[in-house]
Amino acid sequence: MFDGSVVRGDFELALSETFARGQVTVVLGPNGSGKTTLLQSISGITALTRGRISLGENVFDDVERGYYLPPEDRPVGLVFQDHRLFPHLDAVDNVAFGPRAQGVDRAQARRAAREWLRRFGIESLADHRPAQLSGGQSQRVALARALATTPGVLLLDEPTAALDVRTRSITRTELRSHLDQLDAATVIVTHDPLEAITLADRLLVLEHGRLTQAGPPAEVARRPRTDYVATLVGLNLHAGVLRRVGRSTTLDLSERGSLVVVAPAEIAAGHRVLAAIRPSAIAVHTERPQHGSARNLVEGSIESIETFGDRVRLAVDARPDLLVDVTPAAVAELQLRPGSPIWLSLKATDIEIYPQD
Amino acid sequence: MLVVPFVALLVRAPWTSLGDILAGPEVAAALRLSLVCATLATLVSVVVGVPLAWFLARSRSRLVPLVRALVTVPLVLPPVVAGVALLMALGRTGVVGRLLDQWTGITLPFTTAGVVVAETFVAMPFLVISVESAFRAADRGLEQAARTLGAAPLTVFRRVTLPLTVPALLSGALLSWARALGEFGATITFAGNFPGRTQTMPLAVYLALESDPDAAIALSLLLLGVCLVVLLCLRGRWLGGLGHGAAGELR
Repeated sequence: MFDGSVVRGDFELALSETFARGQVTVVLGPNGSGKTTLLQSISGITALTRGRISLGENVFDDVERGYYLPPEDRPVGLVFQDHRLFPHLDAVDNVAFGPRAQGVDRAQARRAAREWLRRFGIESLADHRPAQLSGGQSQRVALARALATTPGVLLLDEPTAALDVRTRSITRTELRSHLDQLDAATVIVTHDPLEAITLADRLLVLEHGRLTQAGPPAEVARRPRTDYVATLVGLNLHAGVLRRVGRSTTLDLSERGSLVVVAPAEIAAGHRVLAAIRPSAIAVHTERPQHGSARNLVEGSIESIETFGDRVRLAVDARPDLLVDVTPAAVAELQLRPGSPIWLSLKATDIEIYPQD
Repeated sequence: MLVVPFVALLVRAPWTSLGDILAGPEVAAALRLSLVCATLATLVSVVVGVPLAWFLARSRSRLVPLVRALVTVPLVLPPVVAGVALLMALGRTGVVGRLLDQWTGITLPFTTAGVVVAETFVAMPFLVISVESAFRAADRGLEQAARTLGAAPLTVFRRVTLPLTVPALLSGALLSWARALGEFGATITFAGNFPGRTQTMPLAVYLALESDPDAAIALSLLLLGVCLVVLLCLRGRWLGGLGHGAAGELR
C-alpha cells in the first residue's frame, strides 16, 4: 500500500494506490513522470516526504510517526534498468548475494542460487562474470538475484529497455511466465506501451508525478484519458461537451468544431466527455463526398505525412485536428501532399464516447 | 636525457666484483631493513589511508578540503623538512613525543619504528589519492543494489565497495611501497643512520659513495632492479590485470 508523496526540488510525486499480491501492476509514464522515484521510495532508496508505505502489517515508511525502514530491512526486490550486477562476482555469487546478506551460509546460498539459475535456464553461465553475459542473460541473472531474497514486493525498472529489439520480445514473454508463478506484488515501470499492455494486470499512467489514468490495460488502450496515453496507443482524443438535440447527439468541441456521435444513454446532455477515434476509421476524399452514410464531414488540409510500416499517417489541420491512417496506395492515387486540401468522413459509430471523470 | 644516467650506472658498474659486494653482510642487513620498513610503512598506510580516503571521497563534512590539503602536503614537501617536522612533533622533547615518552617510555626517533613512521608520512599520500579516486568512482548504483538485496552499509562496504577498489588499492600500495623504499631525507633526519637499525638502502648508497664508489653503484643497481620490477607490475596492471582473473578485470 502506497499512500504518500516524495518532493524533490520543484517536482512532487503523489500517489495513493494499493498493489495487490500476485498481481502485476505496470506504471506507464514519460521520462520525468516520477516512475523511478516511485520504485526508489518503495525500495527505501528514497524516503517519503509525506505519507506511508506498508506491506500488510509491515510498515516500510511512515512520515507522521517518524518511522523509516532502511532498504536492507524491506522485503523488496528491485531489478534495475541497467541490472547493476556486481562485476567482481560471477553469476552464482551475484544471485547468492541476497541470501548471504540475510545470513544464509555460503554453501547453502550458492546451492539456492544455482537452483534459481536453473529455473531461468542459465545454469551453464553460473561461473560467468557479468562482463561475459549478453543483455538478455544479464537481465535473467538480475531477476534471479532479486527473486532469491523471496521478496513480498518485486519492482522492475524498465525491464527490457537495456535490451536489443529482438531479445526484448523474447524476454517479455519469459518475464510474463515467471511473473505468473509469483506470489509477490509486482510493480513494473516503463515508458514502452507494448510492454505495459503485454505485462500488466492493471495499468497506471503517471504524468508529472500524478496518476492520470488507471485500469485494465485493454480499457486504458481503448479509452485514453490524456493526450500522452492517446499518442502512445495511437488514437485521436478530443474532449468536449455532449449535446442532445432531438434524436441527434453531438460532441461540442467549442472553437474546434463539433462531431455527430453515438453516446451511451446514461451520459446526460451537458456532460463533459472524451472522444477516442481510431485514425484508420477516418476516410479521406479530395472533393466533398455526396450521399454517404458517414455523419461527419470535415474540411481541412494536410499538415504532415509520415510512414508507419505499411500505413501512412496524415496529420490533418481541420476542425477538429485529426490523425488519419491511409495506405501508401491511397496517398499515390489521390496525390496527397502536405498542404493538399481534403475532406474527411467519419462514422458516428466509430467515435468512442466516455465520461471525462 | 632520461636514459643517460641509467646507462652510465650500467657502464660504470663493477660487474666482476658485483656479487661479492652484494653478498656482504651490511648490504644484506640494509636490504632486509629497507624491505621490512617499506612493507610495514605500506601496511600502516593501508590501515590508516583507506578510512581516510573513504572520508575524503564520501564525507560531506566541511573539513574535507582541509584534510585533503594536509594529506597531500607530504607530496610536495621536501623530505628533509618532513623529517625535521616529525622530529619536532615526535622527538623526545617534541610536542607529542614528550607525552609519548612520559606515558609509555617509547621514543621513536633513531629507531627502526622511526624509519617506518618517516616512510609512512611520506608514502601514504600516494595510497590515499589513488584509493580516494576509486571510492569516488565506485558505482553508487551497485551499492544501492546491494542495499536492496538486504546488505547493511558495513556489509556493502566489505562485499561491494572494497572489492571494487582493489585495483586502485593495489596500485596505490605499490606506489607507496616504492616511495617508502627510496625514502632518504625524512628517514635520515628523523631516524638517523645506524647500520642494522635505521640504515636503509638509500642511506647505505649515500654513505658508500664517499668510501667505496663501487659499492655505491652496486647498491644503486640493486635498488634500480627492485624499482623496475615494481614498475613492470604497475604496467601489467595498467594493461589490464596483475595476472589471470585478477583485479584487472574490474573497472
